[in-house]
Amino acid sequence: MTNPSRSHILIMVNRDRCGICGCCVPVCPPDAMVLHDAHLDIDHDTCTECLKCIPVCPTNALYQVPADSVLLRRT
Amino acid sequence: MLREEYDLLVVGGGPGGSTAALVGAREGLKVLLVDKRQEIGTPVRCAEALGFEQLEPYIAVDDRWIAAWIDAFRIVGPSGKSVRVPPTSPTAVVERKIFDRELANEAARAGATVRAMTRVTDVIRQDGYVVGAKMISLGREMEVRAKITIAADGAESQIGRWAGMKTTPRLEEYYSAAQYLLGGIRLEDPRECQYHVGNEVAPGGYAWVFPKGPDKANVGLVITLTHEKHGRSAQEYLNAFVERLYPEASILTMNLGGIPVGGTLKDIVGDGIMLVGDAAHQAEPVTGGGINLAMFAGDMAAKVAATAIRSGDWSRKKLEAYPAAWNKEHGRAVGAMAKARQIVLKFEDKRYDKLVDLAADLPLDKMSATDIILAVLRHDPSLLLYARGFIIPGI
Repeated sequence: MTNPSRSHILIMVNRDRCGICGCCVPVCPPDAMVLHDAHLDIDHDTCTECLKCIPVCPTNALYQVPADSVLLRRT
Repeated sequence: MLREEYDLLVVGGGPGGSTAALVGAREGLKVLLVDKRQEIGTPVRCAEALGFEQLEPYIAVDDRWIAAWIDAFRIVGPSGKSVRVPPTSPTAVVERKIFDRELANEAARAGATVRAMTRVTDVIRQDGYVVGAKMISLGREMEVRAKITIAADGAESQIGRWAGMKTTPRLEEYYSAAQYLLGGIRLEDPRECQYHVGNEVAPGGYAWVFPKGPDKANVGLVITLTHEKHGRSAQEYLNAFVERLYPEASILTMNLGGIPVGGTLKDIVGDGIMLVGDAAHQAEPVTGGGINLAMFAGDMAAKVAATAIRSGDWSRKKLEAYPAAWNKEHGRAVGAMAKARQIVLKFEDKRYDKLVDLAADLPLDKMSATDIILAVLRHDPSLLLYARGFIIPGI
């Protein structure tokens, strides 16, 4: 579930490319990048879609998609 | 839930954190050093070149973590012309995996308690002070109370953020880095570290070849996103670089990461908390190298922590002695390099080549840094235009 008042896009992570290096973590102003031992999560409720993380990623693992193209399950 | 109490909690078992724990323990403090990783020292996120000046107070040189001693640096311009520069202090490419673990063991030997696989989940705050942290240690929940917390948790530092400090780097002051450990290559000189500059090689950054033996090398690069115009990632630039220099190479390891290179953060202390190393943006801004600087910072922070605890006052005001000492010894130089970096990043390839040409004709081993700068300016006075904002602050 995304915040309907705000989101037109969503940042997604391609886990086949992501090296779990954490390069995107400090540049994210609202701290929406959650680095786990074996994968990266993006907190879409916190993310402001500022897109700073996308070019920073050394492997191009982050990308944006239209929000209405994705159904997210709240966990 | 486990509950433990210490004088000093150090978060992060890299060189900065381990040095802080080591020096804190030597000062007689009860110290806990925690690291979220299963294995201190891995994954390596570093090109692994280390200067040996002022290393001996912390760790004795050990062949187990020396991969290759280095006689010279070579700077390669965009045209392929290059200049060889002698190192100013003994330098080696090291095995960080082993070095970091041994340094953490030095802290343990000095009396600190070290815990790997211990992830901090939040800081504990009380009356504005950071008074410890909640963590999951080897699978068990634990609450650690500490008079002072040193956050040495790297570029992605969460502790500083949770403590309310402003740590987000600006994109123009951030290196995106990718590196391979290449194997099965033939190095022309396995005792020479190479730096390759140029806007095609690594826009707003540089590429490196750091030998780890006759047929192995850390080959990597950093780029600055605001100078990259083609939407390419660090890894794409690296692949192109490797394809050109070592098309037959095998890839033994891949390392990725980010380095804040804007110069030291304005606030690196608060009530009961200090930031050290990449968490405080203390890396050298042009090269992005940070091992030695993080160790100096760890040493300073731990000594200030010991003095503060002995005096019974570890307020922000008392801990300001740490940034004061840092700025006096290294902070100003780091700040100057951050400005120098902004100038160098604007260079066109032609200018890099011109500088390499010029430097190749100078007896660099007989010249001081000032001599070199003056010689360069005599040859190319237009550089003064770039240097305006650097020499005269505020322009």
